[in-house]
Amino acid sequence: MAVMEGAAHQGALFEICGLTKSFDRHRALSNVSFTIGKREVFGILGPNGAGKTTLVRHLVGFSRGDSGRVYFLGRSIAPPARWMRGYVGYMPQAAAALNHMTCEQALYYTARIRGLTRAEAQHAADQLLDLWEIADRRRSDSATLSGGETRLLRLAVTMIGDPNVLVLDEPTAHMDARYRRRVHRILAELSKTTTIVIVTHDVREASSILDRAVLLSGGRLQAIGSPKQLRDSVGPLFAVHATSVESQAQNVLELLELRQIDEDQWNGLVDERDLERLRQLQADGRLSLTSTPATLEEVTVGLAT
Amino acid sequence: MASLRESKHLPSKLSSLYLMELTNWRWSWRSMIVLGAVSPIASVVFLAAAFHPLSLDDRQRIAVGVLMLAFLFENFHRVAGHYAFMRHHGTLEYYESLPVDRWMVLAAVMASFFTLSLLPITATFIAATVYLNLPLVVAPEAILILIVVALPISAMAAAVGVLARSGSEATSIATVVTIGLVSSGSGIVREQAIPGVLRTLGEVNPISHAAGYLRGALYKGQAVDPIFVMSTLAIAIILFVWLERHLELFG
Repeated sequence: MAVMEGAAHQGALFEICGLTKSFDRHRALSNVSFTIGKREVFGILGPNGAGKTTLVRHLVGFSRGDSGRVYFLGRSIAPPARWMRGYVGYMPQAAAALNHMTCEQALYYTARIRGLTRAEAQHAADQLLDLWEIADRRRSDSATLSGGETRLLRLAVTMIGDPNVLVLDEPTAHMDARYRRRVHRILAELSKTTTIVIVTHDVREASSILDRAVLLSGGRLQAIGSPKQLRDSVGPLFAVHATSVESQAQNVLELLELRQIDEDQWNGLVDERDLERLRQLQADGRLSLTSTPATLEEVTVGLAT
Repeated sequence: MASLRESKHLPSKLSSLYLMELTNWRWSWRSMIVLGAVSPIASVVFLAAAFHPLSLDDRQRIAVGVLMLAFLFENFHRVAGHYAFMRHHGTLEYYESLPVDRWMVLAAVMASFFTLSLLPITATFIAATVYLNLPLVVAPEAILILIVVALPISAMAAAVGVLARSGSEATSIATVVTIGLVSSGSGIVREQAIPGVLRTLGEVNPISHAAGYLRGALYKGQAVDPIFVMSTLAIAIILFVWLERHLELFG
C-alpha cells in the first residue's frame, strides 16, 4: 500500500519515529512513523485491533514503545510525561466514570487543578455546560448520565482550561446522530485555534472535519494523507450493490471478492475496470446493480482488509 | 506555544482532588453502614456472648478489635475496590491526564475515605464501649494513631486495586488481608490465645501495634510511642514514593 505524506513536517507538533510496541506476543504497533502539524485536525483511523488506542496512548505519554520515539514540540515523550499535561487535553476511550461528581463539580474541580482561579473555573464550567448543551444536567450525578451525555461531559472536561492540543479517543462512541453532529460542529469551530487528534471509527462523519488522517491496520501504517488522498490512494473505488444475480454471474462476483450479504444480495468495493465488467453483466440482464463513489469509510474498510 | 497556566498551588490541587474523591459518599454510604458499623457491632455482640465472662482486658480488646475491623473495611477494603474501579472505568486515566502527581491522587483518596470512615468508626466504637460497659478515657492521640496507620494502609490498598485484574479480585484480596491484619499479633486477641505463627507475624503488623496503642489511648489515657508514629510514617512515605515512581499504571 502506498504511503503518502502530507505537508506536516514543517512545524510538526507530534513526530512519531519508528514506533513499535508489543503486548506479550501480540505486536500492537509495528515501525509506525508520521508527523502531526500544528492546528491540524488529524484522524487516526482503522478497524478494531488496528493499534489506534495504543498509538494514542504513546502520544499522550501513557505508554513507552519497545523501540522508536515520539516527540512533542521536539521533546521526547516518556511516561509519565507530566510536562505535557499543561498542553494536552486527553479524553481516553474508557471515559466512563468521574466518580460521582456532578457535571458542574467535574468541570469546576478540573479547572481548579488546571490552574484557574475560583471565579475563572466557575465561568469556564458555565460556558462549557452551555456549549455542550448539558446545562440542564449541571447538578446531576455524572454516574447517572446516559452514555452519550457522559461523552459530552468528558469532552467538556477535556476542553476546560483551553489546552492547545486535544487528543480524543472515540469521542462520538455511544452517541446518537444528534450528539455526533453537535460534537463535529463544536470540534470544527474549535479547530480554528486548537490542534485536534481524533481516534475514530466514525470515519464518514469525521472525514468532514479532518485535515489529514493516518490509516492503521494490524499495527502497521497503511496510508496517510487528506481524506481525499486516502480515497485516491487506491485509485477511484466504487461501492457496489448487486441483486437478482444469476448463478453464472455469482462466480464473477466471488472472483471480484464481493461479499454475499443475503441469498441474492452482494456488496463490495471495486475499481473502475471491475465496475465496467459488472455493468456489462447488468447490460446482459444477469444482475441488477447500483454503484456510488466509495466514501472514506468504505475505503478505510477496504484498505484495512 | 503557551501552555495552560501552570498550577503551582499544591493546596488548590490537593483540595480539589480531595473534594472530587469525597463525592464517593454517593455510592459508598450504604455499604459504609453495613461494613463499617452494622457488621462490627454485630461482632461485638457475638464475641461478648461467645466468650462470656470477659475480663476488662478482654472487653477492651474486643472494642478496639472491632474498631480496627471497621477502620480496615473503610480504609483498606474500600480503597482497594475504589482503585480497581478507577483503573477499569477510566477514572485513573482521567487523573493521569491532569497536571497532578500520583501521590496527590493517592493522598486525596486516602483523606476522603478516612473522612468518610470517621462516622461509622465512631458509631462502632461508641456502641462497643457502651455495650461492653467500658470506662472511657479518650486521649487525642487516638485520632493521630488512626491517621498515621491510614497512610500505609491506603497505599497498600491502592497497589492491590491497581494490580488486581478486576474489582472483585481486589476486594477478595483486601478481605483476606483485612482478616490477616486483624487476627495476627497480640494487639486485638490475647497473646496466649493465638498460634505462634500469627504471634510472630503480629510483630510486623502495624494494625496489631496500632490496636495496642489505641487501647492505651482510649481506655488508659496513655500517650502513643513517637517511634511507632515515626516508623509508620516512614513506611508510608516509602510506599508513596514507590507507587509514584514504579507503578506503571498504563503499560
